Amino acid sequence: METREVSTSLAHGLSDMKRRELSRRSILTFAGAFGAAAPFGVFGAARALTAPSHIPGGPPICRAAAGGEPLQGPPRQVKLAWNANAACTVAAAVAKERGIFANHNLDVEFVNFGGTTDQLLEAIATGKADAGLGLALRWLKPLEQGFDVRITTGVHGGCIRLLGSKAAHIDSLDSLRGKTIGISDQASPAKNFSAIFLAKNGINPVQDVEWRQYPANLLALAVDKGEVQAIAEIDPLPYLWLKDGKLNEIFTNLTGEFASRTCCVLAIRGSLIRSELPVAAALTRSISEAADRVANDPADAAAVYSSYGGKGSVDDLTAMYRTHTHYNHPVGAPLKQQLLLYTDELKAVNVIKKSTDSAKFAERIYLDVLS
Amino acid sequence: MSSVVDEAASGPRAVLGPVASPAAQSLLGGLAAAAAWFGVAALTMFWPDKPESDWAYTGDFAALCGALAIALVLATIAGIRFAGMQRVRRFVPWLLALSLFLAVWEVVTAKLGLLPLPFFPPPQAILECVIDDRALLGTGMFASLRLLATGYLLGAAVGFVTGVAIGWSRLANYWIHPILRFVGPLPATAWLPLAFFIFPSSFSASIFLIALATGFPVTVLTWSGIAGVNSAYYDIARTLGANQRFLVFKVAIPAAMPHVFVGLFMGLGTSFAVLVVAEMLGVKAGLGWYLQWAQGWAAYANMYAALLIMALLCSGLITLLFRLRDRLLAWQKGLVRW
Repeated sequence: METREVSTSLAHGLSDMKRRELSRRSILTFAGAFGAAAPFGVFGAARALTAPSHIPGGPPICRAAAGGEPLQGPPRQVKLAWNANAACTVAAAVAKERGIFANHNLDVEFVNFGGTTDQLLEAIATGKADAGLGLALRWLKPLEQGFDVRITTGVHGGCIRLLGSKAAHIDSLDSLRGKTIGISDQASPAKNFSAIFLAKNGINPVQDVEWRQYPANLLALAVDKGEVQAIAEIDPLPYLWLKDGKLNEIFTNLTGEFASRTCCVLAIRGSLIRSELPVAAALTRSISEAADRVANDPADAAAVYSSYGGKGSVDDLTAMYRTHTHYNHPVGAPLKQQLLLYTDELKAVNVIKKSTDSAKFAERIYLDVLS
Repeated sequence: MSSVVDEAASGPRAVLGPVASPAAQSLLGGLAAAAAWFGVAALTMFWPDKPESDWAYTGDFAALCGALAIALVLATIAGIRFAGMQRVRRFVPWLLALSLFLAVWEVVTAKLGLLPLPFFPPPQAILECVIDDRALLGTGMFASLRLLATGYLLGAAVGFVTGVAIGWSRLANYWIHPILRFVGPLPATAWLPLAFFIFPSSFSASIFLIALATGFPVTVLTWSGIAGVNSAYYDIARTLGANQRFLVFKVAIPAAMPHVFVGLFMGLGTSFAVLVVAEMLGVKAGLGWYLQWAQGWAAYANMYAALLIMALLCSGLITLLFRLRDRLLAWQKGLVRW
C-alpha cells in the first residue's frame, strides 16, 4: 500500500492496529519523558547560572553578604559531628536543646561518633558532616596532613587531667620520672598536652616516661593492676575517678601558663565556608552563645548533658563544668595566636613536623567568619 | 606419540616463525617488562612533582624502579644462555600490569594532584614511611608476631583438644557444645573489658583474645573431622585388637587431619583480625598499634605502609601453614588451594 509510507520504517512488519498503538504510545512516552526531565533541566540551568566561583584556599574577598548578616529563609539544615563521650562539648547540646540554633535559623542534626575524634575530622572533610566540635590538640596533627577544614572558634578551656596513683606515691611532677602513663590512644589530646607540659617542666616525654594505651574506660583498672602509675584522659572520666579517691590530680590543661588557653574548637568544612559563609557564621555564633550559657548556668548544662546519656550524676557534672573555662571561646586573632602556640609546642614534642611553618599553618587552618 | 603433538603444534608455529619459540617469547616479554619499568622510573624522575609538595623520596623511588628494570634486563639476557631463567616469562603480564598501575598512581597523585590528600598519598610517600620508620615497623612486626604466635598456637592446641573431646566423648559433647555455640561466634571486642579485668596482665588478656578467636573454628572443624571418620576404620582396627587409645590417636585423629587443617586456616584468618583489636590493650609496639597511631594522626601513608607489611606477613604465614599441610597430608596435596 502506498499510504502510510511515512512511518513504515518505524513500524515495519506490524499490523495496522499495533502501528497505531505504537505511535500513540510513543507520543505519550515522549511527552512523559519531557515532563519528567524538565525540572532537572531547570535545576541544572539554575545551578549553572548561580554557581559561586571556586576560590581555593584563602578567605573569599569582596563578598556581598558578609558574616554579619543573619540567615534568611527556612531553617538551614546542618549536620554537626560530636562525641557524646566528651562532656566538654556540651555547648553543642545546649545550643540545640535551649533553642540557640533555632534563634540563628539553623536546624542542626547531631552525628555521634563514639570513638576517637579524629573520625570526626574525616567525616567533616568528606562531607558526611558539615561541622564538628573537638579538641584542638587532637586535630592539629591531622590538619597538618591537609584536610579541607577550618577552625572558626574556641569553645572552652580545661577538661584534660593527668592523675597519679596514690598507691604508687605519684603526687608531684617529678615523681612521674621513669614511670608509665596510661592513655586512651597514641593521638590522644591528653597525651599530647601531657607531653607538652612535661617537656616544659624539664621531663623528656620520649625518654623519661613511657606511654601505654588502653581503652579509655579501662584506664583506672590499669592503674589498679599496677600496669601504669598515672593516667591522662579527658573529662568526665578522670573527674569521676578522682572522686574514687585512689588518684591524685597532678596537673590539668589549665595549670600555670595554660590558664587562658582554649581546649576545644569548632571546625567547619572548607566547602561550606566558601559557598555559604552566613551559615558558618551563624553556627559559630550559636556555639559561642551556648558556651557563655554553660559558663553562666552549669547546672542547666549538666542536665542537658545527662539527658544525652552522659556519664556522671548531674551534681558531679555541674561541679566539673565549674572547673572548666566555658567563657573562654576566642575567635579571630586571639584564636590564631593560640593555635600558633599549640603548633610550636607540638613541634617541640615531635608531633608536628619541624619543617612545618607554624605561622603559615595557623593561617591555613583557622578562619574568622564573624567579621 | 610426541611426533603427533609436534605435528599439531607446528602448524601455527610455522606461521609465527621464530617469534613463537619459548626462548623468543621470554626474551621479548622480559625486555617489554624492563622497558615498562624504565618508563615508570623516567616518568617519576623527569616529570616534576606538583607545586607545594615535599616528597623527599621521589628520586629514590625512581631509582628503585630503574633497578628493577635493570634486574629484568639481566634476567632476560641470562635467559638466552640458561633456559631455566626463562621462567621470568610467567611474570611478564603481571609486571607490565604493575608498572602501569604504578605509573597511573604516580601521575594522578604526585604529578597532577587529582586525588585529595591526605587520603591518597603517592608511592614515594609510602616508600618514605617504610624507610624512615623501619625501626618502628621492624620492632612492631616482631612484637605482633610474638603475640600472634603465642595466641595462635595456644588457641589451636586448646581448640584441637576440645574438638577431639567433643567428637569422641558423649559427656564432653553434652556440656561443651552449648558453650561453643554461644560463646564462639562473639567478636573479640566484646570481650575486651572482661578479659582485661580477669587476666593478671594486658599481655595475657591479649593472648586470651587471640586464642579464643583461633580456638573456635579449630574446635568446630576438628569435631567435624572426628565425627566424620568412616566407621569401617574403627571396625577394622578393633578386629586387629586396637584399644581406645589406639582408636583415638592412630585412627580418628589422622583421619580427621584434613578437616583440622581447614580449621587451622580459618583460625589463622580470624587471629589476624583480632590481633589489631588485641593490640589496643597496653602494648608498647606492634603493627596494630602502629596502624592505630597512624590513623589517629591521619598519616595515611604510614597506615598504608603498615598495611602492606601486614599483608605480606599474613600471606607468608598462610603459605607456611599450607606448606606444613602439604608435608603432613602429602596424599591430599592439591585438595585445598592457596
